[in-house]
Amino acid sequence: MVTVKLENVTKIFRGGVEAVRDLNLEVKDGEFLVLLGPSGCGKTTTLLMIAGVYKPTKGYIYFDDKIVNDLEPKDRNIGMVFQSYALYPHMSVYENIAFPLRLKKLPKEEIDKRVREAASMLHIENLLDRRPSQLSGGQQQRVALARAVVKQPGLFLMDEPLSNLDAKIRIEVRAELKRLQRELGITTIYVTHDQAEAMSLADRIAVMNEGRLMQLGTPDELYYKPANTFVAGFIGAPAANLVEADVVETERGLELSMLGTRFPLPSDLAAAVQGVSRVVFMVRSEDVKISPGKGFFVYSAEWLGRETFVHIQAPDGTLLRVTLPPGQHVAVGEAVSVSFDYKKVHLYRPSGELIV
Amino acid sequence: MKLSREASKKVLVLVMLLPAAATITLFLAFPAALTVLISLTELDYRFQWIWCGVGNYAKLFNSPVLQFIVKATAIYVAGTLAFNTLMGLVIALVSTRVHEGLGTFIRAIWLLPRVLPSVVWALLMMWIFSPLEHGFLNSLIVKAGGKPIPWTFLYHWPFLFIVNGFIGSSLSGIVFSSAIKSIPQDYIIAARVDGASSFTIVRKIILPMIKWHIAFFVAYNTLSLIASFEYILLTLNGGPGFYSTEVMILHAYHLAFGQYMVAMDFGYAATIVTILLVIGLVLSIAYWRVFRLRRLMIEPKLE
Amino acid sequence: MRAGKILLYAAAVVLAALPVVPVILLFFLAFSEHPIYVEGFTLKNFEFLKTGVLFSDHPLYSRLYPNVYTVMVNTFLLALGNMLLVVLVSSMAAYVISRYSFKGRSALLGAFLVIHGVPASVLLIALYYMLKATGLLNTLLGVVLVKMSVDLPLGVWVLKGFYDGIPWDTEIAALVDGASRVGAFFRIMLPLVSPGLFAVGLFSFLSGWGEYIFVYTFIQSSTNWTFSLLIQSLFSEMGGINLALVAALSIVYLIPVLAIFITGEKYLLRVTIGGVKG
Repeated sequence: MVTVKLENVTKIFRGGVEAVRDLNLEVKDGEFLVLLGPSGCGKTTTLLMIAGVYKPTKGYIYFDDKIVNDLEPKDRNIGMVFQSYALYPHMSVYENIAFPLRLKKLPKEEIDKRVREAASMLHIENLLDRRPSQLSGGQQQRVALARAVVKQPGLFLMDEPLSNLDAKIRIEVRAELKRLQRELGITTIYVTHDQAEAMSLADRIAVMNEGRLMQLGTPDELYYKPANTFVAGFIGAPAANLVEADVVETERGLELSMLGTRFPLPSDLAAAVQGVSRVVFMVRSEDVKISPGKGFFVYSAEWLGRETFVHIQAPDGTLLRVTLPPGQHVAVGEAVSVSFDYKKVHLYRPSGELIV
Repeated sequence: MKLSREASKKVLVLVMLLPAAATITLFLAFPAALTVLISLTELDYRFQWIWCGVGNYAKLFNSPVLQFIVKATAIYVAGTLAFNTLMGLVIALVSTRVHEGLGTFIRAIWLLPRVLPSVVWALLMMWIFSPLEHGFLNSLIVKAGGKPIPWTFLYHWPFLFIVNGFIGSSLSGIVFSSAIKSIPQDYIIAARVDGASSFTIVRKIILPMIKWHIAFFVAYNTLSLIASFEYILLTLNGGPGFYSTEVMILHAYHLAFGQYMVAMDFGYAATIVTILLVIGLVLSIAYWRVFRLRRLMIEPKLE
Repeated sequence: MRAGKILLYAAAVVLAALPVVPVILLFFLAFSEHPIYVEGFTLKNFEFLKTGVLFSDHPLYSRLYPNVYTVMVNTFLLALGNMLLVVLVSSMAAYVISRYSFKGRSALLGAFLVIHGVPASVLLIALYYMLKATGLLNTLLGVVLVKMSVDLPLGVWVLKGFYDGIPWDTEIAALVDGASRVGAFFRIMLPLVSPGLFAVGLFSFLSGWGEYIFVYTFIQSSTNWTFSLLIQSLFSEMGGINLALVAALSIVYLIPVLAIFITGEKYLLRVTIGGVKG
């Protein structure tokens, strides 16, 4: 298959909008890489540059060791799947799948053989005579996958392929997609705004925001070691708590002044913030412990079946997101005190970079 | 030789655009410029370019005919516009309130006068409203024992409003209907629940909500009416009598191509046309601003 | 409430009848036994269809007017030429304008918009001069060229709307699947806008078929006459003598118009709406 490398890639559109800035990225052979970010972050632009629809304003895109900036999409040997499925409405399912092969001018029998193979791989053999408009969303996306697979591409590009599907079908197609990618070992770049989808599919995730790469890493790394406040806030559901805090020196050592109260810092964290006056304190909802006490109040509680998700109101009015372990229950209005699992806490500079 | 990506894109854009661009330049932009030039000459049947500066303009502004043709143009545009807008509203209001199939049918059938060849529509109207005894309406009146009415002499403006209005109303009817249909039903239901009558609903809810569509139609239609004369040419041709329906553009046409080429006063005719062209251009630019037509021009993706 | 409903439906029926009544009257007149009144039923007004000669029993009159079949062919050529040229040129231009970003794009679009708003009849004088200078005056080709340039902006606007309606993904899919830009245009885009091509085609055919001003102004020789010219000339000269014949001729003239109107009304509506939006 193919490795993809982006080197200082920048895309500025006519009119001056800078969609992608100085992007460096390497996708390994056979890897499943997810481009994750909110809408408008430049992930789709990046994908379309890799597809060859857009040309980078600056920088280079390599397939293996070859610069492909000037290669037309048709010469890149990629298979692409879209959110809208993008099936050709005036062709039957069979013709849709056969289209890339017909363009390659393969012999008829070869086309027929490969279309049927691809169809059986995706369990749509019985749909070949239908028109796209007669299919359900899930079926359409299978056809689109078959069309991408049939040309035996070196690279898969997927632009939110699951976003238009119902929740149940989505999980089914997602599994199918993952299986297919594993089986064929095709390098895949997958765009989504859905972090749960990204976490479950990706070998590695590239988080983007405002045209820039925020962090590249495995789902684990992103979850446990977010490189900045953006990634910390974007990855994980419920979203992590991000609280601005002042570092104050007392006779007992360094303390964080936040939420209308003070929290003493353990020595390892204290050493790291020596000389810093303001930080952003990040803690995931499951790393906040509450116990009967005073100072904080239970603002709301939602029982989710296994655990309970609560909002805790701090003395200064801020609401903290907290996930209670199974078995622990609280009542709304109850006074509680709060502690943190400091091993999992991260501190960032106000500008967003990680301190510890 | 293989072309680079940019070059092959440029070639594609050029090749596909060239016929249209050339046509527009050659047959629309160039003649518009040429008209302005001709207005500065005494070009006539001899086809000699004799420059005369703004002589034609001076001649026009001193012409006793000017007041007649300006007045006729104003009446023609205002009257037809009123007919088109009101009839369009009636078509839209009625066709959106009756049974869906009937409504669609009404809007469709109003396209008929528009697709009929202008000559046939004009002759039909001339026959129906003919001042002579064999005119269709008059033949009915005579049969009923009455005296024939000289319709086109007595009512030449209303006659022209009808002739043109049946063409224009199809457009306004369609525009207004689609605007009314896009009003969320919730508003109407809410008003009904509040006890509003049908008349109140039309006046207080529907009309205010489609006012931009009405404004757009009025603007657009004014532009096309100012320089249109085909149906006047085909029916009353400036008459009856002395310049009673001779609108500016028709006057220009008569000056240039009037009776048996005795006219052919191209230079002078082009003067009137140039004035109309300038008015048209100014109006277009104004509409462009007012209706923010730029948003129709979202930049495309392909590179 | 009830009375209001009856009133509404009465108004609706009147509205639906208004535009059709004149056309129905035309049919009555065309089959009328009396030359200037609607009376009885006969086919004799259509006798000219046998040889194409009008007033064949009247040696003087018959020489005044060209053969109806010549006129029919001329009208058809004008309509067909206009249709083919408008569809061909606008389908290409609209695609590029809809899909590609290039310098001067908005200027071009703006030009189309402005030109489309002002009736082209203002250009008659200059066009007359140009056609005369190029020797195209008095030829059908000259009229076709002028007519197609006038109809072109609308065609481009309407088709641009159709192209805009095709999702980007569909075209990108074609490019990625291995189609060249030109290949994607012919294999994917054109088939998908075929309703638009059809609509613009019908519209420009009708527009050419019914054209009067350009023919009247640019064509003198009666061998190049079209129906519109023949009918107008007959009506003003013979309208008081044999109106039924003019009506019969009009019916023949209307046959393709009515056929297209009845079958393609939906498409014509799209063009009308597209024209206003533009």
